[in-house]
Amino acid sequence: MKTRLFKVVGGLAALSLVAAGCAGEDSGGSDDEYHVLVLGGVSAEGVLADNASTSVLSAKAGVELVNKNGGIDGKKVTIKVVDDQADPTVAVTKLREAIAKDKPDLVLNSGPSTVADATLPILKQNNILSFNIGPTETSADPKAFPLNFDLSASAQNQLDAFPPYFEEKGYAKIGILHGSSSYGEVYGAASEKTFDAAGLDVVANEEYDVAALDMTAQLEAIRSKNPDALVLDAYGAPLGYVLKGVEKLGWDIPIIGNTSVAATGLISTEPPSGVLGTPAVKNLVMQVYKSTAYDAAATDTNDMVARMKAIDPIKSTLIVAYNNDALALVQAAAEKAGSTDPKKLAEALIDPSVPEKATTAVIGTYHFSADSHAANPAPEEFAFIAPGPLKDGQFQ
Amino acid sequence: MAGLPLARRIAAGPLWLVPLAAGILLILVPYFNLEYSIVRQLQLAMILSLLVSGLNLSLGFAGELALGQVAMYAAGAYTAGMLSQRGHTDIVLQLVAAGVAALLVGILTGIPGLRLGSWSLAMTSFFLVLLLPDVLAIFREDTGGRNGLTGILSPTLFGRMLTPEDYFMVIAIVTVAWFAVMRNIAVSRHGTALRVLKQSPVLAASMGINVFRMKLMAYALGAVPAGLAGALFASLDLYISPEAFSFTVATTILAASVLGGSASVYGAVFGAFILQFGLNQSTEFQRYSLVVTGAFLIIGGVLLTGGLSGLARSLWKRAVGEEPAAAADKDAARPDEVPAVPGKVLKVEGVAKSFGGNQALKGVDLVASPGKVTALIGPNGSGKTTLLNMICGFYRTDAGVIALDDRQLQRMGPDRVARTGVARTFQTPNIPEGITVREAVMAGRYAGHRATVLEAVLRLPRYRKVRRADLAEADRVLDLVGIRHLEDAEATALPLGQRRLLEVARCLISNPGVLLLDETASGLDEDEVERLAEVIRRVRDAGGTVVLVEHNFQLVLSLADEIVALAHGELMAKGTPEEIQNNERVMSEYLGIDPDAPAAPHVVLADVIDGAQEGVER
Amino acid sequence: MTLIWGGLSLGAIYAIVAIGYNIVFISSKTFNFAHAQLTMVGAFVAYTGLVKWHLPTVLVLVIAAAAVALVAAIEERIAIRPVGDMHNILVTTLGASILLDGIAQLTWGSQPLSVPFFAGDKAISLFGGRVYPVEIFLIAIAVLLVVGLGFYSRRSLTGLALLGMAEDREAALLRGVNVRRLAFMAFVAAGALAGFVGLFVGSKTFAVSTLGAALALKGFVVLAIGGFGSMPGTLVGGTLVGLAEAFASRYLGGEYANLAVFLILVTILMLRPAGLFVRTKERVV
Repeated sequence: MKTRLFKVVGGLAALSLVAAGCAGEDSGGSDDEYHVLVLGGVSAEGVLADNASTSVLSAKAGVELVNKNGGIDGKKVTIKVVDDQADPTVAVTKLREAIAKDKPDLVLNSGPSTVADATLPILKQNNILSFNIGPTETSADPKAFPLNFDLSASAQNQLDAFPPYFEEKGYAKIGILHGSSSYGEVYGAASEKTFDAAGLDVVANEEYDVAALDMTAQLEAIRSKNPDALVLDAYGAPLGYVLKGVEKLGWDIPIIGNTSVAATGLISTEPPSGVLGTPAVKNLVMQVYKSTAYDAAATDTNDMVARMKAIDPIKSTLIVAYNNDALALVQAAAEKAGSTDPKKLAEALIDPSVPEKATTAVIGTYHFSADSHAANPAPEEFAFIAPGPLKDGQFQ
Repeated sequence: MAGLPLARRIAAGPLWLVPLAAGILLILVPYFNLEYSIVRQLQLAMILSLLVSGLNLSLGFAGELALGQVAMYAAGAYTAGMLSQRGHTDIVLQLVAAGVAALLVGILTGIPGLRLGSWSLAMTSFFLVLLLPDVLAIFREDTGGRNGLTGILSPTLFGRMLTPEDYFMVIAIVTVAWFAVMRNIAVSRHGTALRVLKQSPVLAASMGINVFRMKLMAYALGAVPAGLAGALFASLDLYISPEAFSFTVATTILAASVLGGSASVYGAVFGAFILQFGLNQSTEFQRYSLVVTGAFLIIGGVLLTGGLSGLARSLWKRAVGEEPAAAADKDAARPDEVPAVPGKVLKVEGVAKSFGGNQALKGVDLVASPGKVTALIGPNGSGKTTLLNMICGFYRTDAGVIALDDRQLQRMGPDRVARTGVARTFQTPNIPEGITVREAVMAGRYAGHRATVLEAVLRLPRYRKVRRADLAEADRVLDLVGIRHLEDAEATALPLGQRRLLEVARCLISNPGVLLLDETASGLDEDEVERLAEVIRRVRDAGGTVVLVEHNFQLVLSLADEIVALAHGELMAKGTPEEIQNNERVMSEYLGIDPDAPAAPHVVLADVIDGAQEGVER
Repeated sequence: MTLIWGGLSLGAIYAIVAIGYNIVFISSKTFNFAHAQLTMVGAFVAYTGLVKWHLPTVLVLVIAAAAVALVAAIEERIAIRPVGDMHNILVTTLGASILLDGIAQLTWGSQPLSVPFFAGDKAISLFGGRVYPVEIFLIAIAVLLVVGLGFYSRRSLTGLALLGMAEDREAALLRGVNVRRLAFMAFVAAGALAGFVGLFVGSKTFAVSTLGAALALKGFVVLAIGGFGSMPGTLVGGTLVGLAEAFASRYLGGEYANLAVFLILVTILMLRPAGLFVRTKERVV
């Protein structure tokens, strides 16, 4: 009893002693260099790792571009890559560590939205400008996070491009199949809402466990409702299971895959190790950025690919190469603001002329506004293409 | 005492001083201006050590493998997180609520898992972890589903915002406080009782401990630190998602528990710190991290049997020197006067039992009276052990009555039978590891004289009173069996004869109405048998009721007042030693003597007994 | 019917993994966490043999069995033999499973690789349902394994010795059974089996570095339902789990697949605490 009491009392006393204690402010960015920190799940399990490596690669390519064009507000850009294993807890640890050691001026978060959820409050607390790939509910809300910008198209942006496509093809009854990942959940809910609003008839909306090995059951459930087309969110092995299931059922239905489908290696690889060109994908089209399909006329994109290739091989599609654009955007913003102050940069970024001017490659023009820091790419930025071989992150 | 080495002198002092000093150091970490990464790792390691400590309660102390810590951790974290979202940011409130929520989850999931016994708890708790994301997804309105719970506010204490430094101290204080609680439980009678349970649920039940309730207590109590850890984590990162409560976390906790040593209090800290710091370093290898983690677990598991704390303990022992040789001084002072042992009448009437189609007992009668030694003999398979197990409540009777004085026992479970006053020893002495002779004996009073866990943790007066009585009674019965001089030795290290005496003492301390001794002389040498016989006579003379199940016919003849002989599940003969000795059927069936042989039985008895004894001892 | 075929074939995969757990469990009372990963390595080796080296199927099966048996032998030597404590084996085999995941990811990458199947990858109609040839093979393999192992354990000397060991290790030791050697052989045999079935499993599920984790959990559940040590139990458990997943996904939604399996598990454990095919013993002392 005495022991315990002593501990508690001692502890409380100690607690009150530090009441006044406070950590010193680290004012990073005052020197001649502009520090960029890239968070990516380089050692994450499974497919996340390849995505992370492409994100990191694009960041390096972006730094090269920016430095070649005179840096950011005249400062030389340096880059530091931190492996967060795509795990929010690890990301928090490493980010806090990096901030304590040498506060970065810009953080590029290439991880999933769970990492963004965990890191954004810290970035906000430290007044750090950040760009984010995995969107969360509030990440693009300037009221919640005034210094964060979402680079990726939200599920909504992508979905907005669907109804015109359906109309063109004459699909009226739509089935939806999505994964149980956090993105899959959001996608499933948002797609139903969007299609409903566009006057389409969503006849089925099913979920599958991303760790499951067979999706035939869900497909049967959807088939029983007789849709005209199937909208599919799937990534990695589950995509293979879905395609196998469709083929097994002998179900002749057009499948429209989202960008995750396009990012899966299986559909861009020929047999025997992939399914490209087999009957399994004959009905499949997928949504991609125009930049992800090779076009000899797209100079900005081709220039980025060349820069990335020079550093390292490109392991996954260009869909995740946003970080290149982030640096181009910051450079343009700094030019306009004449400063590297995060608040001023953020103000500059919502000026439509800045993204217009920036030499971005993945998305032609970003549309940040005072109300929304989402990329909001126009529906014309997207294309629906059939699977093809992938070369340097682009479908040929 | 002058020549003792330093280590020994420290060992003689209060051992809790070392962890206490470490704890204070930990609380004061914010003053040391450590690098941020180390501070963060320390925080996570403390949270992990809380989780591991909870697992140790059920795995290391109660011997029940459970993986459900993660679910309780999540329960705590989501409770705290949702409270904070709604503006209740006081960390004390959150801790309390999280602890209660986790305790509820522990009780609710523990009851079905433990009811079923064997691997069920491991199974159900394992599945609990797998289901967690699904459950969180189904209630996504409140929990944020797989996207995680955002909007947790910074913690406050009594209305004041906590700085990161303050919060570190909060974590450290909670951790240190929990380990103080855990230590108090471990060294209390409850800790000993848990070790009894881990050694053998059969032993625990035969000592009057309700196995189910005890296991549930350990499992549910282990939920509390998990809940606290959850609340601490939620307010540390201000964001929680199902990923933080994945199966990987469950395996990390298990690995930390095993590496640190499950059956120790502070092993949890070692294990947690090794895993937190070790695994984090491995991320430096980036793409090799899985390989490094795997190799780390293999190497750790191979090198550390019994965990780090086991290693530390054996090193410590070497430093302190050998335990005083157990068997060295044989003749300790024995008190002349033996206090009374109030025995009761054990009555068995017409008891029958069959296993499948095999009729093991067919209507057996037996009466054992106070102040008498009643021996139960018979060849292997005659039903002696079955009868013993029925009296103790391990088997249900098919027919018949078993009564102790006026109370009928045949419908009771083994723990209630034991609390009613039946105490037994085992053929192979059944003694928990890692406790002293005195503690082992005191455990016999656990069921009869209660003090709650809370009283033990806070060392309240009732606990102290019970504890004082425990100690005094232990001295008394150890004197009675004559091994008081060994009271500080490790119980399992004693030679067989003394372990048997210890079991007798453990029975006597509960003031049993009847004392059942199962093959108590087998494997003992002549000296040891004689000392045991002496103890049995003392108990009898003090008024105890003794039932002796024995193969050693000579011992039976010399001790028993009445002998009951069984054969093929039936009563074969009953009577005084002389009557049995002259019973031809007993002689032929049990000892293999041909009644038609020329020599009279008792002439050659001595030779026969020697032969029989060898045959029995295998 | 298509649904039933799907459920059965999935259940067969779980059962095959559970059989592997069982072989090790019966022979040494240890639980090899890494067995599902061995199956995964088998699938990867099959991929390499068929796709990269263009070898004939029979040869690939032999190579995969031999390669994984070797991996299992190494695992036994470094992660099981030197470990004295039961609890530690949980940690070391867990370590082995993570290690194998890591090695597979480094060697074969993280994208799913398709493993071609010799009997074609065109779905056929059977008993009114659509099914892939490989799925029929998987079901057949699971059934044949259980029948074959049952036959083997009762008729051969080694099999009897194994059963004896499972019953009472000490007694088997006294009767001159080389317990350690036999346990090692059983472990390696389980590895060879995992390698052999890798081709079939991989044809259905792709060779992918997350396969081990997915199989391990469900295989474990199947084992719990059927009862530790029971071979017929794995078939029944596999069928139950496979069908429950399929039907719950079809009629309730994917979120309820795991919950349905959990309900089955709890119900069965309530009725038979040691699993469907294992008796609880009354004798305690």
